[in-house]
Amino acid sequence: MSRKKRKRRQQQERKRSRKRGERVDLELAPPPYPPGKRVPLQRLDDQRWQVPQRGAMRVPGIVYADESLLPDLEHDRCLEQVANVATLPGIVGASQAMPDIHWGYGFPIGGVAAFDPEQGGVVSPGGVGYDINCGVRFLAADVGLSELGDRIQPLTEALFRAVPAGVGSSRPELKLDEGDLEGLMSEGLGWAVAAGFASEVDRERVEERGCLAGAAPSEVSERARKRGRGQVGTLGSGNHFAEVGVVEEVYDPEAAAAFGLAQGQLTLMIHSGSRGLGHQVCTDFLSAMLRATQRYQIPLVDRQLCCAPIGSPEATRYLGAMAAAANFAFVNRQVMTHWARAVFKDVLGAELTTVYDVCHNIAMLC
Amino acid sequence: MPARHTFFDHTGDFGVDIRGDDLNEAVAEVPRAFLQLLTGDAACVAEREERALEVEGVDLLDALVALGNELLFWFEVEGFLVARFEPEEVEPGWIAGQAYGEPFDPARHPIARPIKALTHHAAACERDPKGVSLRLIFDL
Repeated sequence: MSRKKRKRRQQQERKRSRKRGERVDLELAPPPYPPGKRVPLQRLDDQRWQVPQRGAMRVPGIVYADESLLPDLEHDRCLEQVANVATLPGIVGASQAMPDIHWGYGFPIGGVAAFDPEQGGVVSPGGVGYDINCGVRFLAADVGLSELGDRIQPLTEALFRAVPAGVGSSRPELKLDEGDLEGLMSEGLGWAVAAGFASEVDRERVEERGCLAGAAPSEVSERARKRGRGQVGTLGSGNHFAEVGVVEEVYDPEAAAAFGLAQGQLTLMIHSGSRGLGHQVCTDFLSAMLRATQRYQIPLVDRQLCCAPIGSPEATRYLGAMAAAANFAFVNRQVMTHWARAVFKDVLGAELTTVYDVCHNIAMLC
Repeated sequence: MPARHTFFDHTGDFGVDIRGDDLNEAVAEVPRAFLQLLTGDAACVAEREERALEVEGVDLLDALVALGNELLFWFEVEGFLVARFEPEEVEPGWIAGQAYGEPFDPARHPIARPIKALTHHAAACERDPKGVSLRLIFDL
């Protein structure tokens, strides 16, 4: 068959099989502050600055930053994004931004907002972000820097081998079947304990005991499963890292003792999330939320803020998929912890104890 | 003038502005920009295989974002890189055409900037008498 004929046949097949999903005609509302223009900040106290309510903002913005951080805020468009989030229905109190604020997608990075379902509050997959349950696991070793000697290089080299990193990094020797994937998305660290990757002590020290309630793996697409299946126990790329550290100085001895930390102690910090599975969950639901935004007539100033009212079928489906991806991420950090423990044991004869594990890309119903 | 793309900084990430004489030409440039961002050298991928590429969205911008995310899925899951795309149908909510590329080979295809997703933030398509401009932002 000639190339031309093959193309024509493919086009005809496409026309026959083409999905006819609902189309939308979204027109964006004007943002509260004109793009690229300076957004004013009013000082509330030494650490808090207010973005004044303007245009479609339902509440003001509040940025947590000291004066030294202010010049950085003017380099990008993160303050416009603080104002944009304030336009979402049902937002409570203020659109808030933490000191790590910088230009994100829809929400600024470091953005936090609460929404009241009684007031039409919404959930936005773009607000949660692509890397659902991106978070940090912090571990303390029972050895100090003084005992490390010349073993830092063998330690880091062994960690590089044990914790795969980089684009498309995978752990092919960790054979997870469909039942495992369902289990870890449903039960999070409960699955990891049963599979021998976690202890009950780990579980006690992980946010939500390593399992978000309401996970609905059935809402996680086959595409997302394909992207995530081989990635449990891998660091990924971008700003993700596994870092060996040391407690250099103790500022609050009582708090440090409560966390089992002491000056000179070696630590390990693991920053990672839900890998390709979470990214795909976000991608899958953004199109659905663009439709929902039109269906529920939600005025939108940025397409990435597309959303649905809490309690709507679209929001419920997303929150179920998001919780499943979050549980995947808890297990991901736990499996890396498991292999890092083997490295610390092998190279230093040391134990690693979980101090805490907390996520920073998440939505929670309270 | 052939379509072209220009990257711009988005704190920690990258955006791309694409310019084409018409919409099809601008859409064809999206995979080229994707490949340039990912590998740092769009010329490193040869046209050894041909594949049908079809994506759907709720409107044109959603379909453009879906196009980028399809390229990412092909790379991440199927290990395939697209060197060139010939769009045959570009409609609101639908982009289809032929893609040409080859399987990912780490020895020949450097990964300069890992891509997490193509975002909807600030996505734009503008037409003027001289052609079409697209703006897309990548999450790295």
